[in-house]
Amino acid sequence: MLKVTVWSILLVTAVWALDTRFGLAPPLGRVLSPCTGFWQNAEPLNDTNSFSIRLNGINRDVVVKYDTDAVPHLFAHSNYDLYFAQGFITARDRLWQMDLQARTASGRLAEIFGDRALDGDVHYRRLGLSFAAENALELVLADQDTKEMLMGYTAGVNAYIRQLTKATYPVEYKLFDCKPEEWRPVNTLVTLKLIAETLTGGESDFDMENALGVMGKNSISELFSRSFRYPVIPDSAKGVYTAAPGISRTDVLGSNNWAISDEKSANGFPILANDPHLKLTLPSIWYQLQLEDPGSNAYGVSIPGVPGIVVGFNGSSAWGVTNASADVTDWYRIAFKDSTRNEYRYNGEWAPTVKRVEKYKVRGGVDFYDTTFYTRQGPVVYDGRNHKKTGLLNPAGDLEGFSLRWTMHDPSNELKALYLLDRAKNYEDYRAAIAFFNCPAQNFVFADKKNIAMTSSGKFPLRNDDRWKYLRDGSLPADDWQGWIPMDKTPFMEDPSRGYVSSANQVLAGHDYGWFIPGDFALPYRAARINESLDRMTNANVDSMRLLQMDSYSEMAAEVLPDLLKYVDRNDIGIGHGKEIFTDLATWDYRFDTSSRAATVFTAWWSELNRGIWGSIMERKGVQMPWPDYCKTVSILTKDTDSRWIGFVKSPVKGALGDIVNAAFEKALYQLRRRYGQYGENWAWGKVSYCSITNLTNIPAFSVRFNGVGGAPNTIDAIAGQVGPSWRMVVALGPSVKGYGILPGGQSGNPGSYFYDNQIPSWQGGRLNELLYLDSPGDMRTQMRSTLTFKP
Amino acid sequence: MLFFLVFAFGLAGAIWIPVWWSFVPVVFLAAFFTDKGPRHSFWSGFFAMALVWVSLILQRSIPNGNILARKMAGYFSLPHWTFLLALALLVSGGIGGLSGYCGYLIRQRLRLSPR
Repeated sequence: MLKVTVWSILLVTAVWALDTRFGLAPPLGRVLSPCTGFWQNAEPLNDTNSFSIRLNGINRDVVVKYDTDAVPHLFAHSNYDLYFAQGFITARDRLWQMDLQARTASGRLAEIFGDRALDGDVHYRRLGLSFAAENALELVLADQDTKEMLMGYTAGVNAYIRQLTKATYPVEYKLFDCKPEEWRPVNTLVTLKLIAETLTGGESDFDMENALGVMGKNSISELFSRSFRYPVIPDSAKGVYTAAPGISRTDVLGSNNWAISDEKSANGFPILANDPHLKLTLPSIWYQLQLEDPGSNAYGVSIPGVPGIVVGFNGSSAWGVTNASADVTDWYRIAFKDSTRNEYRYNGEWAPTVKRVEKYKVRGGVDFYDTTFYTRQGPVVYDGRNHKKTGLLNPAGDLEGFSLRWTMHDPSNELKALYLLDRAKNYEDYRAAIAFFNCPAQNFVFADKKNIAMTSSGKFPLRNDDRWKYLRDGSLPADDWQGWIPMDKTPFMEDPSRGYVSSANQVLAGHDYGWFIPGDFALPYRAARINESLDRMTNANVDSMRLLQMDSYSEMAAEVLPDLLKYVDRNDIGIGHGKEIFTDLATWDYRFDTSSRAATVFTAWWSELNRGIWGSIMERKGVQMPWPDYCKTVSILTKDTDSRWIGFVKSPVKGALGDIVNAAFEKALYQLRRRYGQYGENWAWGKVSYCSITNLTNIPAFSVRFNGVGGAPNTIDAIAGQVGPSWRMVVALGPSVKGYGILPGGQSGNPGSYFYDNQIPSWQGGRLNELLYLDSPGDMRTQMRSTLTFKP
Repeated sequence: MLFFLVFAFGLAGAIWIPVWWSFVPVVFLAAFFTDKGPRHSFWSGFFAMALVWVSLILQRSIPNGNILARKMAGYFSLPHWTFLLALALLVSGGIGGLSGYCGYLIRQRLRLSPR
């Protein structure tokens, strides 16, 4: 009897253990099983099956043609059916990504990942992304077009989820032992808010406040405020342009877009190019598709979780975006009356807060409750419970809080902008469409068959003063935002005489522009290179645009390196191959090509030099401060060589710029030699730089990392580690529009699919795929991979 | 005989019942009713179920060019995807064998109890 009992218990225990998740380790039996486990997600390489599905909810047949890159082309008879099908097929390829993004934005990751995700969840909920999405929902549903769009998409996603079984769940659900939940309309909107947070959610105000306390206002304005040439929208009357001031950052994502007029192109029609740069992920951030119904036929990339196309083209026009980088957030000091935080000081009186109690379900733990207090200046993100996270030098009192005023929180309907853009036939349609795009503010480039245009579109707040870069006082009505720049007055231009429009995250407008738009703008080097190249360009074609997107010439290196080399004695370099290194630098063409060794030396030298000059000033123990941008360093090296800032450097000969430059050079060379050996092939930029495309769930085995990429921050092809062009697109307008594009990944979100990362080699090599723009489902110009038909 | 029974019903279970341990009662009952010796019961369960899983896995993974298997091997910090295959073999074989052995043991127990 004992024997039977022991063996039976052993069997049951073994089955139980293999069916149970331990920490983050998946239930092994379930995951390894061929009938329910990950093997089910191994997609056949040559899966060309065509089939049809009956779906409740659509009104007429929808045909989905998959081309050889697994891009779906959707043909429907109504808007509702079209977006229903978009929801279904996007979920089919990207469900886990959609779910993960929506859960991240709404602060619900702890439901899957447990305690470890709770801190992040609390932060996202306090930022008020869900609050913002709920605010937007009413507006979206009040518009008939966007209501159909959103409800159709939602129903489509849910139709896909409902036909899943445990065996066919995306592989991540199996690994984390969870299941997809019903998609809600608000999930789409909170996904849009997550994008807005990525592009406009900086918190530099706290660091600037620290810098103000440590250095004083004069130093701040000396180090951080300047005018830049090459604003997106230049002053009309002047030749070379200066622009309104802003903080510029050296690490801004490097998006580019431009369009050239019919006069500059070889075939007499405008050409448009766009490469939005973001932190690169797998699955790809974007999902390619074509959407056709009786009123529209658009091709481009969409955001998984959001209906419509964001960057793309239709039969008449093309459009694209770069981040406007404008400052659309402000942090306010809030003074609470007492520890209940029920009231706060405003205009000499006590105003009530609005409370939002947040419940967090924590996997494997107990529920957690947190209250966010909302003021007229937005949600209080930091208060007595988490002040330390602000990094403020002078810690705030328990009765103090910091609220976040953000255009993202205000009701808006960005879906309407996408809806109208996808159907835009001309400049007027484009202007009408982007007026709906409030946040994140973007530089929308546009071209139709005759015109080109650029608009910095979004809700730009008006302030009373120049305190936009510091903390503001939540008790003073004077510190409130004073309204917005009217949508038809945001910076724009149409068909300029120079024959092109362009943007690269730089300062938005020149001095002649009547409104003040501050921001965290990119340095002007990419913009300068783009504009100078387009100035020279004639008879351009698609390939000219492609090559410009891949351009790795560094305006910054060209500006500064000759001056740096003046300080170096080529015969007195204390490391082997000194003369050779010097010669390579002196004869460098300033291109960050994969074979360039000078690019590697310059980068290391430049980094050491900035540390050398600014390190002793900015690295004060325990104080977070922003570093001056590269332009300040350049100006010290090239013009302001006896700058007072040099005096702070701890060097043997205090204040001697030459010594600092030489010390940085030697240090950089020693470090390079230690890491890459003697000066030689291993110092080539293509071996030193890398590109890392990280899995969205942070699973290293599902990520990709490789060397052999050209480009650098501040070159047009701005690839830097995890950041790079998330989609490259060129569209040639004409009697028939032709599009070209490439993703740093692929169409599928399934790591078990060939199409998960199949586009990476072409992306790395700077090639573009021709984008198949079909007129109808019967368009048989090329071989299709498979056909999926939805039947009511 | 037991081997073929387990293979046939284990395969059917794996395909039609969406629970990874569906073969446990199958092997158990097969061993119970065929009433072979302890070793026979264990090894028939082991090899038949291992064969079922390995065949089904290869049928999925080979058309996939083993893309996912390689990535999953990385996920589990294994040097090669065939280690995953071996792991699946051990899990299916081990549980299959154990189920067969338990089926045999209980049959013996029931046979003894009337005395």
